[in-house]
Amino acid sequence: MESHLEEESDEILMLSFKSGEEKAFEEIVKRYKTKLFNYIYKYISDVERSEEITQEVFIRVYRSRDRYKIKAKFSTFIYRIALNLAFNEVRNRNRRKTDPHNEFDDKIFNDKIKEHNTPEKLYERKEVEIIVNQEISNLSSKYKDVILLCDIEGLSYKEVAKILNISIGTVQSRLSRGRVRLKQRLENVLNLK
Amino acid sequence: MKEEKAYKMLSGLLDNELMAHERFEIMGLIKTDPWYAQKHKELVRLRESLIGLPQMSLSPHFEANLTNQINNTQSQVSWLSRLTDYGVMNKVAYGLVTASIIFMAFIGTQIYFPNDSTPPPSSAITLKSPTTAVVHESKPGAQYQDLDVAIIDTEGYLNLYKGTDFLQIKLDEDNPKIAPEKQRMFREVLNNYEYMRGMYWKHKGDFKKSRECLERFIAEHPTSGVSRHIRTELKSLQIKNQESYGR
Repeated sequence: MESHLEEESDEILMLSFKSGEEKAFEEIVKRYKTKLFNYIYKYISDVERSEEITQEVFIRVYRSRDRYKIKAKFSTFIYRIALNLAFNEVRNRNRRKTDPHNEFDDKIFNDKIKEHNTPEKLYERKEVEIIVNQEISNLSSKYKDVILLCDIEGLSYKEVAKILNISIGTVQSRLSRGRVRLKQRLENVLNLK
Repeated sequence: MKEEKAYKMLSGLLDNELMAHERFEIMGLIKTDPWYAQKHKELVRLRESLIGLPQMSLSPHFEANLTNQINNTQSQVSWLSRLTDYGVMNKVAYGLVTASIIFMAFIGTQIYFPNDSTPPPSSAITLKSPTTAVVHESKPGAQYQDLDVAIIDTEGYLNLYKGTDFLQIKLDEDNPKIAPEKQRMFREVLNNYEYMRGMYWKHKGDFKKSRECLERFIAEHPTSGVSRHIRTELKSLQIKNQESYGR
């Protein structure tokens, strides 16, 4: 049984897990742990908390096994949980924030880039990664949601629509607008032109 | 507006989410219009940069921590479920009811019957758990879905427990006067009052009375689900009756 688990779809794994196959859950964790961690990290930009939230996602999956039914793709189900938890985390952080300099601010961020980064440094890979991640974080939630799910996680419009509970048309519009905004912000950093 | 539509089409092409005719249209524009070609190139580069972002690694203890957390959660859940479990709640309710009845009985006998050596009805006082039911033939706990437990004790009391509510009826008395709210609460069992009495008299060895009660029950509840069981009881009573006459 164990040897077949790697070949099974996520949905079959969940059904196996539901019927008591603990190894199926381990396989799900193996498949999704890094993806989810990175996805959540792009939301909250905090390594430690991202790991904790990733664990919370799996705990919720674990707990919900008895209620699990194949209604949609499993990825839709698990990303939905991750999105909700990441969203709650961002909301709680925003509530707790007292220092205005802690908040994401395009102007402050752009000024920092100008002040502290020479063009050479900007092209260093690590710096670019930081900037790209930061710019994704700076996008408003509606654009960030679709860009993370479509571009980073590689989900289809249909899946994203289900996760975000919006229409496919809205996914398409938000994605296109979000990309244009991101492109404008990253034009120089990524040398897009 | 035109630009927005163009970006939407280009974006859709990038994600392979366009209808065939849309795809054909935008591909044509990319080939013929430099603006479309440039924007398409930019979007492709953006996308490649986003996909190419390196994935951060989790700490090596991630899975061990997760396992611990799940085990902790499970033990919490099982503790909670055990607490809220019907059987345990029964026992808790029993404990509370028993303790309060012992206390009330003690106070009552001390105040009203200081010189009376007759003990109060022993059922609830001697009751320790549902398995100590005095009369086992009736299997009351299993029969009444809505009731925690019903026990006929050796003193002839029917003891009914429902959550923290308790009702005690003397079975060898006819037409017991029970408060309406209690009647509502224990209606299901009171409907089977004659059955309970039948069981009681059977236990007491008065098969004639037992048979009368059970026959009355069947007459009152001709379609009841327990009738089959009662008919069996009646047969066994008939045999016992014959045996007692034979003696």
